Amino acid sequence: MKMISGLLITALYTVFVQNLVMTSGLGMSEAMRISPRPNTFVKLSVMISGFSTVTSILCNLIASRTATVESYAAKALIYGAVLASVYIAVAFIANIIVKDKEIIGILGIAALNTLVFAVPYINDSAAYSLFDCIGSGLGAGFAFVLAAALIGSGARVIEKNKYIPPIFKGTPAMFFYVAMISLGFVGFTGTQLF
Amino acid sequence: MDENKRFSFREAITENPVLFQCVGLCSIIAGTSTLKDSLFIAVMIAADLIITCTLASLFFKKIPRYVRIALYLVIGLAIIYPVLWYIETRTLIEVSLGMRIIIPLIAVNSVTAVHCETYSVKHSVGSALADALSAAFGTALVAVICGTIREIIGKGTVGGYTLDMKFTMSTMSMPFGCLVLLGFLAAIIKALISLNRRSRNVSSETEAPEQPEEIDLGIEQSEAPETVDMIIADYDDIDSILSSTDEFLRSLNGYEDGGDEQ
Repeated sequence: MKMISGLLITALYTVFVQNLVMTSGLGMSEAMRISPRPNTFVKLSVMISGFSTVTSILCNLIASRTATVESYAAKALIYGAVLASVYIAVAFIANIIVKDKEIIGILGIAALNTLVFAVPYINDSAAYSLFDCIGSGLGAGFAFVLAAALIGSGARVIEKNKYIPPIFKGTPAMFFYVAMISLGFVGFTGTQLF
Repeated sequence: MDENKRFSFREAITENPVLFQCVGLCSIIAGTSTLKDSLFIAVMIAADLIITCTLASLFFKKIPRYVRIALYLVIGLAIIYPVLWYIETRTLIEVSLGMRIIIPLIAVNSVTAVHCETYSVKHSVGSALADALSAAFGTALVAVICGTIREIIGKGTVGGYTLDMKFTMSTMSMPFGCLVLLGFLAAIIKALISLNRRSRNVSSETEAPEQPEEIDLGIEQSEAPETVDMIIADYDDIDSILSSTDEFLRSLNGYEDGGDEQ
């Protein structure tokens, strides 16, 4: 029970309190580019959850079975190798079973992005247990859904707004909008803003 | 696309990957809170982009796409690992703990993946290198500008030297500050492009007043679509997501108005 509650608390913390997309900019490019397509970003978020959870579990198991790795360079190699192996295995299976070009294309974006690659580092620095790592991995995907949904809904409103000066239309207005949401999420972390 | 592409300063600005394609945002947002960090990030992104794009153009054309994407990560790590190792073994080089986590993330930078997949694997080495140089220069420029301004306003220092600032805003060191700066940079470039286009239209009108009215109307109608339009547009497949800005950039560069490219 304690393990499950730990998992849920970590997941909720990752989604709402420390939304990795909004408070650190992890996976921000993918969230901004995919957000206008709800169907795609839901698929992408499920995949991000999957990849970050599996990668987190494997990295946690490797860390617990080997001598503690202190070097960040070595950590980068281990996490990168785990992530690349998981992605290649999933993409290979998907290529044989699903044969859907779109799904295989999304797999690449879902696996190899800064959000998924950063999750093992966060788990390591927070000294998460295995169940916390699962919660953190699942939370990363949900954090992406929340961020992409907020960005997508804002993009549609900005698109229709006729009062925005022409030079601020498009990406400038999007950046300002995302900056405001980001500031809101940073407020949840308890950081002093001014 | 142009097969004999050359490095173009104009392209690095008007087709800026960060400001108009919304790629590579994580490294810029998380890694440019000071000038020193931003210089480091700029050099690392440029190295990753140039080496990976060149290798992709040379060797990856016949490799399946899903394998290629993993190879970009492997190449990125091969570039970043020696740098991280060197930093860790040389105590004189001070790099913050946060930066030691952010630097490896450059290996999965979306700028590299997008440029490799949309350009490098479809073109010759020379063109791929030119494209990578333009993208690297554009990204590095944004990183350094953001780093400098964020450090000055956020910490009251520049390059570690304390300035006589009356007040500082710690929010500039947060993602909020970087995103606001990116918004202003994108708006400034859009304004410059708009001014440039207007002056070109004025000069073409004065040079050739006998032009039929329909052509003027045509130019008006071929105004560049807003980037949000481009982002919201329906994509047929995931390739389109990666190369989503092509149409916008073509019109932005004046290709449709008989611009430089023609």
